[in-house]
Amino acid sequence: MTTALVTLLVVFVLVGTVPVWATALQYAVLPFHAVINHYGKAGYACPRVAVIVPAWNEALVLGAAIDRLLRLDYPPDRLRIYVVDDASTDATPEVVRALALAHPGRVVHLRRDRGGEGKAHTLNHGISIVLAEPWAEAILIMDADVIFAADSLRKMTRHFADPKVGAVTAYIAEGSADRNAITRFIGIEYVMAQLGSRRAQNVLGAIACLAGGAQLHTRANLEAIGGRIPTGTLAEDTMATFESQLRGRRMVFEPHALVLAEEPRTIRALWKQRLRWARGNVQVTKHYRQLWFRPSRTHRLGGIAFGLIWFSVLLLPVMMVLAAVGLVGLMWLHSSLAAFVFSLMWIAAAVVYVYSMLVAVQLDPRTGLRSWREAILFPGIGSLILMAVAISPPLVELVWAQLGVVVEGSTELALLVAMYVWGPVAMLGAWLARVVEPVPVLGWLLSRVLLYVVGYGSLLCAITVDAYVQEWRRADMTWSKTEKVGRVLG
Amino acid sequence: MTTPTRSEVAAVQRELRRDARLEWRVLLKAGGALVLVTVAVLLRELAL
Repeated sequence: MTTALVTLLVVFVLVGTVPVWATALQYAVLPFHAVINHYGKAGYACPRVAVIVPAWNEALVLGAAIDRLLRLDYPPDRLRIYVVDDASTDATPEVVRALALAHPGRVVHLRRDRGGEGKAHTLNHGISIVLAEPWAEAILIMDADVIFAADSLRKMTRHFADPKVGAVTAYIAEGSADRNAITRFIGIEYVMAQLGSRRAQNVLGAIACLAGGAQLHTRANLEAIGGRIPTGTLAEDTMATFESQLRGRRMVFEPHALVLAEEPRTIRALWKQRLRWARGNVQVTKHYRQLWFRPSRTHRLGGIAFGLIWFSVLLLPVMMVLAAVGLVGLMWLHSSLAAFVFSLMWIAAAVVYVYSMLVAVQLDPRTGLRSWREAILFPGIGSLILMAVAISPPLVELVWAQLGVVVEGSTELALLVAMYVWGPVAMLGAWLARVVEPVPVLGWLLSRVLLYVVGYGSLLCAITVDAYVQEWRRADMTWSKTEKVGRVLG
Repeated sequence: MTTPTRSEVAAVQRELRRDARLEWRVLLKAGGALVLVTVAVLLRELAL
């Protein structure tokens, strides 16, 4: 009985290491992008592109985004910009009307009388109008605040030389002019999740999500998925990506096409944005429940590697709790085994973290340089200490000796429990950081200290837990957009 | 799609070759990171 229980608890801890192996897999696969990429099949392609810009009260950011679109290194007669004004109540209509007047035929103002239904509905209004005419050969879906680098669209369209490609996405980088801790963390996250993971997904042949801020579809692809963006979930971009791949079309991530975006600057704003994304991912997982871990000849979404990557993000909080339960249980039943698997878990985490971060910061050295503190502290000070404990137990004893602290008896037990349950505790810390952030005077400081202690990953984990709760409670799916004020570097 | 001129096609091909070469650099950078991590792990094993 005890042996069975111990085995079960060890399995719990091993399940807790799945996200580490999933990251290791992606960063092991990533270098193969040198040989397994789409550049060999890409070539000259210059389709007529209809850009659809959904805009709901975007007067502050819209002008700069459209200005940059007009200055793209792309033939002007092959680019039209359709701004879908989602019944804005600010100066958006005036801004768009002025641009449409200044650039007749190139900027088109589409106005919805009833707005606020969400981005997918707004996009679909524009898509239906664009597809009603034969002019557009490709449709670029973007956000109103993003700034496209001059060569980005050209770099994306060249993949359409291969008729099997249905859509292409770009590297969306955090581009605020005045950065803070949150935007720097996001910058590092985007490097890891896009320049790292999406390159790996290119190699594996299955893309989890074409970023909603820069999604270039061929007309045929968009028509094949019904001529509209799916509206059933909060992750409309992920669903469009899945639907395209299920029809056998190839999706490409183009790491050399750069798009800058303004990202949230507070934990609360980030929470709001990511809660929408995380709930969307939960909904997508449920919607495609017949798909997971079932390899198919038409697509690679059912592959084991892709499933592992997907669920290691979606179930990360569950895995962290399982690992903590496993370690605490083992501590009572077999303390030396608990110490061994704890070390194994955190040494693996340390090796994979150092390797993946060393690779990531080199993929975008500018982001790596300006966010080096966040790159080092990405897992959080707490996790870094645990890595040090696992890597070098004598070092820890030395530190205690230097501090003159005697760790034995109940203190040792308390420390052990604290180390073993760090994952869930860090998630609570992240939640607390969100709670205290708006408190006057000390709130901001305390929330930042907490964030650096628990790490950015724990914050995303806590948001995922919130997404589970919201989905379980069938909370309202009202679209709440992230406020943007035009901080992106021009 | 339009019929491109020879120079337009050549320019795209040049750019594709350049980007493909950059991907080889990614491989080298990842290789460098892997060597660093391996050395660190070996040093740790030797130290303990």
